[in-house]
Amino acid sequence: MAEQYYSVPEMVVVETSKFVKDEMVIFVGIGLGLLTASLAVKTHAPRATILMEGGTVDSRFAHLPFSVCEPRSAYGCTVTTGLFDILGYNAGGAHADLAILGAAQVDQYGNLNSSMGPRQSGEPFDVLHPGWRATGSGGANDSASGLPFVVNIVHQDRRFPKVVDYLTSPGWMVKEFENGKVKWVPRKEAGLIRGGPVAIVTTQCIMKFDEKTKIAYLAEYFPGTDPGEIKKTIGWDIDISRAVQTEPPSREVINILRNEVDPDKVLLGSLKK
Amino acid sequence: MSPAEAVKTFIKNGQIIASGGFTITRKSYAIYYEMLRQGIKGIKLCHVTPGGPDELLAAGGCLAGITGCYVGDELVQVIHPYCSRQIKQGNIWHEDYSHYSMILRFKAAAMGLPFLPTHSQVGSDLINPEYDVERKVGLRGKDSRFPLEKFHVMKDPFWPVHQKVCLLPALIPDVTVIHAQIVGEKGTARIMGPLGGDVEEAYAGKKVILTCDQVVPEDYMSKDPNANQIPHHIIDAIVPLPYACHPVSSYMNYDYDAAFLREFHTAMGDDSRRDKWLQEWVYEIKDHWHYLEKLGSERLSKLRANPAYAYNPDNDRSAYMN
Repeated sequence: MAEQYYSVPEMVVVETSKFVKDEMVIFVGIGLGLLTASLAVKTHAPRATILMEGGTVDSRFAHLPFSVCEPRSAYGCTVTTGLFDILGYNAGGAHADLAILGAAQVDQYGNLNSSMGPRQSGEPFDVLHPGWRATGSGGANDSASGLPFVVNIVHQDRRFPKVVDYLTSPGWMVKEFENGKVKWVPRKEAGLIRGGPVAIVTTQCIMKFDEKTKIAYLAEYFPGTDPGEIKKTIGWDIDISRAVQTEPPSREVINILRNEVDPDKVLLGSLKK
Repeated sequence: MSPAEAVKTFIKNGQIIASGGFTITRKSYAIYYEMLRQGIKGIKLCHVTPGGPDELLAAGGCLAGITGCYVGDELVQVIHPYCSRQIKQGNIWHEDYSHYSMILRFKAAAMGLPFLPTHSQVGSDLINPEYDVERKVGLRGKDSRFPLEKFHVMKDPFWPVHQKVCLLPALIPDVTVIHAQIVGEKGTARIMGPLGGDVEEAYAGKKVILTCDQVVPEDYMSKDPNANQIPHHIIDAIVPLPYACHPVSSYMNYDYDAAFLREFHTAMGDDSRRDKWLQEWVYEIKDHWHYLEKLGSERLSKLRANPAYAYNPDNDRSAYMN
């Protein structure tokens, strides 16, 4: 086996960046999304526009920010405004093309949980005493409600339940609440007339959604992983029949990521876990 | 006025306080430190975006609950260690909305409307009645400052698609606390850099405390009125202070203090260090000048922003880089 010249998180960034096409308007949060969009701009999508909810359009970072509203987030931007404009007019108002989102859990329909859950996945929980707590929605619900989106997530089996323990951001089948009962309905029927999940990029594989069933299937698996082993970690009966092995990233793109996008390891460093 | 006067004059136990700024940008720490020193209790905090003051107020025993969309400080993925634990234990409630929903609630209040619609939150557990926290803690129907319902989903009556939308109730804070870089003598505010949700939060508040880096004559503000966002008649108290937001940043003036924030977050998450940290950095501090003196001129000088960047390109951020 040849020496591996890239890390797994770097592969995730490279693979996610492929969903960013030139001239797209991209909504990103802090962390991997921002790194991904920055790589796309430096490689195959130089005319892509990055939106951040603090209130910036088309920033060209001199130093990668730690927050979507900190001073570094605005460097080189063409419009400085506020959160209302970015989430209301752009991400929510269909003046954007794609969101790149992280999550603590993702389920078969691409619903995301970034907020909380019970001690044991699948059990009901008291919202006044959640078993675990993550940071929460931020703009993830808003952008997932209006835009196509790609999910980045660390590959651990507890992160892929059949149904998320708390639905923060809507995928293809979502919840309606009537007389104390939960009804699952297609996204459009619930009122979400735009957008929806496009792909889930984990640290082992890429899942996409079946045209008909809208259930996530294994589209690609990374070098060094095995579709059968991946299947064991997924909470639904995932179709692996269409899976192909992902080509490793080129040395050139890894060099751009390391030397031009994040030379100080501002975000790459945090992804090593 | 001073932070002590502003808190004494405007902030009372049990109020709904809106916290402006955005995680590590323009959070008026000087005001929140003072709230701890004055022993304010029972605050219902709300915000478009949270930040370290959530941790401070929680650790200082000032907080009853939070209405917001996020529990953390960004810095890639820093969850507030103390606050999140208190939420899990049920000691502090957290009512969950999306980011845009929060700004919409403030916008409705700012406009004097009872509610505004959005397609955000539709289909999600953010509108699951089972997770209606403000109802579960007994605020709905008892405290008139809280809406009778968390949300209301309805069909659009105007267009043939009849899209379902989520109506969100106005949120009127008793006091809003924001920070601007430049403020006219009467209160006209110029926020530099991304605005987050401060304009909506300011218009929504019954009273507004504005900390700022500089006060200038209103004549100066009128030379470039396009650069100003908040008119003077919205502002109730001007608190001019250097480094009012330390340890976080004020675009164009000073950068965030990553080492201080790391120490703060670590102490907040550690039972054996939290009280000691609060003693050292809050309760034993006489006022903001004492705080700055303790930080020292060298530390503060290193945070000064370079105008070509609006931050300090040489700022040591290693505390949050692995």
